[in-house]
Amino acid sequence: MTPDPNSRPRLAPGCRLGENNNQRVLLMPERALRLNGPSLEIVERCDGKHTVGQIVADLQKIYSKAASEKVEQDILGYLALLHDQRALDFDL
Amino acid sequence: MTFTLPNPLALIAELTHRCPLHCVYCSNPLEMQSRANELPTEVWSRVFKEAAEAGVLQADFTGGEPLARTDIVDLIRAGPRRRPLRHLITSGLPMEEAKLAALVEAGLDHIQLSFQGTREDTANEISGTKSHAHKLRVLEWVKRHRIALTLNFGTIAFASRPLSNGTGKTTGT
Repeated sequence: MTPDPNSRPRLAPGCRLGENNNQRVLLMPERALRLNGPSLEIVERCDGKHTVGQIVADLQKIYSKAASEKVEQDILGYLALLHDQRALDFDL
Repeated sequence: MTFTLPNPLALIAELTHRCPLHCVYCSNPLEMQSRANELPTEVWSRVFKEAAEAGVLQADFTGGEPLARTDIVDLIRAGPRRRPLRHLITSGLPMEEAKLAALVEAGLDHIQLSFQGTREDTANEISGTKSHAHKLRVLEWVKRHRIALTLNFGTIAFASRPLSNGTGKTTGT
């Protein structure tokens, strides 16, 4: 799937941000993903309030040296991956 | 010289060996520890608090059938709020909707519900109980309470088709 820019991603039931040894992690049933740098910036904004478009704009500002097109593609790909892993729902 | 052990990530709590199912394939002990020898509420509660302090991210409440414990809601509630992630691994057989609501309120995040087949007749035969219809009811409650769900299917060769001898016993898979 390609996330709709106007949709608002939020963590799916059974998923939440956690921490282990100062390492931020995305907790999912039976699994945990280490979050660093951009992945943490993205997941922290999956709160049901930010739209996909806002997340893209925020990260384009934070990573202003990277090509904005590439930042957008990476974010959309990462959100789709988390959705495939049942970690995200998208509110319209 | 000192070194640090990495902290544990998951706690698997076998709360009881009691189980209402009689699955033909099961090799778990029904009474490795008798009911009288199960750890009491206060000991498990302390273990969960200590595990959370040690950094455990995931806690599996399993058995046997963890719902056989009358203190299961208190056990789910033990430890810090929202940490670790709490999973209940259950047959669903002793579940009632009010019990599920209480578990979710206590902090349950995720249910693993077992199925012994895709059809009522074979599933009941394999599990040695009339359990399949109730498991389907539990599914509806889980959807209503919007917590995460995993379905556990015992993948045995005869689970997908009717048994031939009708006794619930098989001569091999």
